[in-house]
Amino acid sequence: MFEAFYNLLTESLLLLYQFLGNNYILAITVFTVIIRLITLPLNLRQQRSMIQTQELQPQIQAIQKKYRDNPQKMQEEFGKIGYNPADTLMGCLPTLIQFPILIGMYRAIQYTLGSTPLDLYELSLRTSSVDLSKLLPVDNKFLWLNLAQPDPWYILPILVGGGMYLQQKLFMPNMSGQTDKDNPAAAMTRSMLYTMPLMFGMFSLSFPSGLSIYFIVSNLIGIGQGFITKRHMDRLKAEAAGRPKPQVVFEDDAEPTTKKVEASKNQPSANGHTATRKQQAKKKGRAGKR
Amino acid sequence: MTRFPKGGPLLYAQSRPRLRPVFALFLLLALVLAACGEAIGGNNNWPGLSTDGQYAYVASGPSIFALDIAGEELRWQYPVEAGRASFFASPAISGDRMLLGDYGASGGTFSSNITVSIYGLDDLTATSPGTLWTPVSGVARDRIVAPPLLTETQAFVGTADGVLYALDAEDGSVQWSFAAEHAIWGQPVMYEGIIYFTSLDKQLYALDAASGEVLWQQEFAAALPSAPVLNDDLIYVGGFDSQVHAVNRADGTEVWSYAAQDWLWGSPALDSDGETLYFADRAGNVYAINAQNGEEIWQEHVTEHIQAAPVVNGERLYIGASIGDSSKLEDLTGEIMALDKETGEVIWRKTTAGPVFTAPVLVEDQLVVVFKTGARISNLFQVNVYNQTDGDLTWEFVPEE
Repeated sequence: MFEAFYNLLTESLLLLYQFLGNNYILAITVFTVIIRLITLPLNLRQQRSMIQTQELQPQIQAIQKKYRDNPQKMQEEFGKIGYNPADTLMGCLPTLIQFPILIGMYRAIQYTLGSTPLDLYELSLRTSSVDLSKLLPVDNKFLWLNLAQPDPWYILPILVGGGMYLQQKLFMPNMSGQTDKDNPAAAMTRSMLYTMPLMFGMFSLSFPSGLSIYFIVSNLIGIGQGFITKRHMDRLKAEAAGRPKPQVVFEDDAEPTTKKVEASKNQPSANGHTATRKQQAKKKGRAGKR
Repeated sequence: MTRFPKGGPLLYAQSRPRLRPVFALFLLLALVLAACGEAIGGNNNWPGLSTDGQYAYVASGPSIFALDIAGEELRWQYPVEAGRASFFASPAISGDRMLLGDYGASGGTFSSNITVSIYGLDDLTATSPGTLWTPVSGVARDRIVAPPLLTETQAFVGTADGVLYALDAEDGSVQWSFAAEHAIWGQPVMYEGIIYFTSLDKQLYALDAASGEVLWQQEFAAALPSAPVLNDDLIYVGGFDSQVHAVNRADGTEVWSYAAQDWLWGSPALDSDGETLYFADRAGNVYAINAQNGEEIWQEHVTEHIQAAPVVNGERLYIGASIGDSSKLEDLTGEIMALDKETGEVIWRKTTAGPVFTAPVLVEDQLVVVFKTGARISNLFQVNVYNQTDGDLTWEFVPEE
């Protein structure tokens, strides 16, 4: 299955190279744009998932704290506030999908640039729709770069890491005012803001320059896409501000229940006892001490 | 040991928000390392093979292996302990001296630089070779894929970034360099003070060996991956345009060309009388044509794929082949054949465990064949030695892993 995927990427890259006047950089750029367009719906979904999770964060934290050792009950309470943990993982889907593409691009660049006779031999077995005799050898020079070799001046790894950091920074939800204690997930997200760019920058030290170019172009497109989706995010936030937020209410029987309440009304509870906001806060404190 | 609660690791991860990014990061890292692990083996090729008539020398992976064919033993291995560099280009032999180049050694995890070195060895018949000169490092900037050329006074090395270096054969000092437009994969040849070499930039070059001055260059329709062959006033080259071209040695003008059915990867082979030229294409066809005018003598389809150059000796033509169309090397097998050079008839045929991409060599009455075994990134190989007459397998050599 993976071999078929690598072959598809390899042929596509060669076709673009042929169509774009034997310009390899242009072929990588256009290829990256196509991939980003294909994954755009998933990326938008990821953003939406992040916003919704952000809104429910206080409720999620409270439930997690209370039912740390009872995952079944936790799952039940999550359902009541409309939060599905699986959505978090679905939000990771665009990132996960990028990795097979990344690996496929690595292989496609390696085969098409044909650094060794063995690479070229394998290329000849992976392509059927292009006349390789007319295309080969692929032009592997761009500025100071040999696209089949890592950048000897370390400029591309810096651009790869820096671009990824910038893109993540723009996408990262605003977590100012939240301490690590309030939102441990935010602490992890902040640390990944640095670790992911560092990791990819290190990878780029040994990757062919052509693959680093792919990273850089992808990051640039992602930054441009970020400005567009940011507007979408702001619109969703504005819509969310008008929606009633679910609140965690702790009853006298100490069984915390979760129900949606109107933001401006006190609703009678199941046993007829009406909890004011002050009483709710007191009960939250008692529940925390147990 | 932590037991996951009912609901599995997913709910466990959900109940441990601090661990979620760690899980994701390790998963992603594992995916990348697992998939790229094989892909990183791009600095790899099929083995190189050469001979001085007594020993066969195999270049594969971190070492050069000197095999005593008559004694059926490994004579020496260089370097003794594997370093970071890899060798795949067939070593050049002149008398008791050897010239070889490597694919470059990585500078380490945090370095993107590759150090390519050129080595001069001597005293090849001893139990371990001597060092002719200290390895020349940092001059060549890309892999040495092409077999080098070693003469009495000079050494010529072509690199994967298209530069031909001329070195002093005594001390390895660089005399001059010339930059072609793309990689040099074929061994240079020299005749009467002129060096001829091909490049993937589709050109055949003629340079003055002493100064590096370009005398002429001739462009063809496709990349030229193999060494040119000289025959008095003619030079023969084959390439990815599926043609053999004969050009005038004086100025590079084309005299005739012959169209095969597929890529010509290996160099043509010239009969000892200079009258017949033999070559093979990737589709498994073998050809014999008149070396003076290019007229076909015979053509035979003998196998699936041929990348290696044929070898002609006496009345026989020896050819290695690969069997199978998988892009996975470990799924391929190979074969070695002896053909009647007058008719193209197959006299004997032997199967090998891996594809034969390297031209065989002759050591006395033995035919030495090397082929890659195992996965793409492995440096595993096997040497089979056959009796030239009947193809009996007389010796197998498999290096220790």
